[in-house]
Amino acid sequence: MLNVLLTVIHRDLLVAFRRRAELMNPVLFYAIVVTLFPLGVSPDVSFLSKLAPGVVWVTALLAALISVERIFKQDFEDGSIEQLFLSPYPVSLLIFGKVVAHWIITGVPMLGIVPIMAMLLHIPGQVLPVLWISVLIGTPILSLVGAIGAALTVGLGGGGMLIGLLVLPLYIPVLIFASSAVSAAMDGQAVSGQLAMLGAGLILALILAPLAISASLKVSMD
Amino acid sequence: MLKAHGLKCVRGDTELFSNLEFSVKSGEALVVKGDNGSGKTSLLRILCGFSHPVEGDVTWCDESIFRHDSFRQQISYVGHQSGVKMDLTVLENLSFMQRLAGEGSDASKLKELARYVGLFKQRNVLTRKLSAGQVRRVALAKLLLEQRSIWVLDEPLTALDKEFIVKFELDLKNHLDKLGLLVVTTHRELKLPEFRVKQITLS
Repeated sequence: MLNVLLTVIHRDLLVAFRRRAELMNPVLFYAIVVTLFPLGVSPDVSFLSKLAPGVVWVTALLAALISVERIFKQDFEDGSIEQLFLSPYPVSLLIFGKVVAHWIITGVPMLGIVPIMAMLLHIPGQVLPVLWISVLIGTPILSLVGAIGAALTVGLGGGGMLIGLLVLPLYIPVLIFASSAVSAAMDGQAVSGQLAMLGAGLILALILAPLAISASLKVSMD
Repeated sequence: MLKAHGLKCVRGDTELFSNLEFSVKSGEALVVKGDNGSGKTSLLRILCGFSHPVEGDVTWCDESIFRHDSFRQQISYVGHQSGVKMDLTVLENLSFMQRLAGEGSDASKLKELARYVGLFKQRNVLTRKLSAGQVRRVALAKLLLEQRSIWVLDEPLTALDKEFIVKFELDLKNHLDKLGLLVVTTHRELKLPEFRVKQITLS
């Protein structure tokens, strides 16, 4: 079981790595948004650091929204999705592998770039761990939930806008709890409540999303 | 025994076929003929359980295939979209197929297979750089890799050269001799033992 999961992750990462230009897109996106903010709004330290949690999280959310559309697209066009359904393994497991690969491509670079973003936006050093943890827990939720929208719209062609409409309401709680955790940490308040909510969201998404995704794909194939 | 009971298929506003009945036994081949757009691919997708007919049912051993997911694990399907990843090499593609089929990875077997389909020299070349016929060979190699009892093939001969078609027909014949079942759409004549072939034409 674990072997086939790793096989799917490995294949998707290999395919992504062969298209290196696309691989850089999310990182580039984070870097551009965060460097433009101080230039466009105001370089004032206290103002920026107040804005920062929201900026970091809105960036993460948009990056996920843009990239998640492609998660099943290629597989759908080249017929690999059908082959997944003919395998003796549960489709939700194989699909979960694809989502993990998506997170490794979009979420993990974000974990790396967060300290730099924090510096550019004047987020104090002692808040960085909280920000980092919120990204660590929050971005997998974005990938899992986004993949449901992608699975539902993959058969429609040009489903980009539709994914936004479907998925955005489910992204909002992540945005609220994650950015409020970072804001609270800046004010020196406890953050365990917000992080616990995020963690609960992640567990819920881990359990339910793969099932929802495989059911949605089945509908899209019909 | 794979049986279709009064199948009806509608795509958009057009009815492709209705009241379609046939049955195929193990060791038999069902050759589906028909003009472009007559619903051959739609029929194959229904037989694989990917899409549902508007009316009717398909049964395997007298049980509806739509209620038994395990039926799918007996199928090898090669469609128009071949399921081959263009960004992977020939061996990487074969290796993924092998693992997805639930077999342990066996590199020597894969090399053997690459040699068999005539792609040994190109085994480490990205599939994107191969010709259409060579990509099709990679897709068809899956049939030999998975060794399943039902082969569902959508225009398998497209882009293949004469030499390989002869070889492939032999593989099909072997499959039938081993009491495998074959459903195939084609515009060209397939040389198969006549007593094993059933033909339907969609119009």
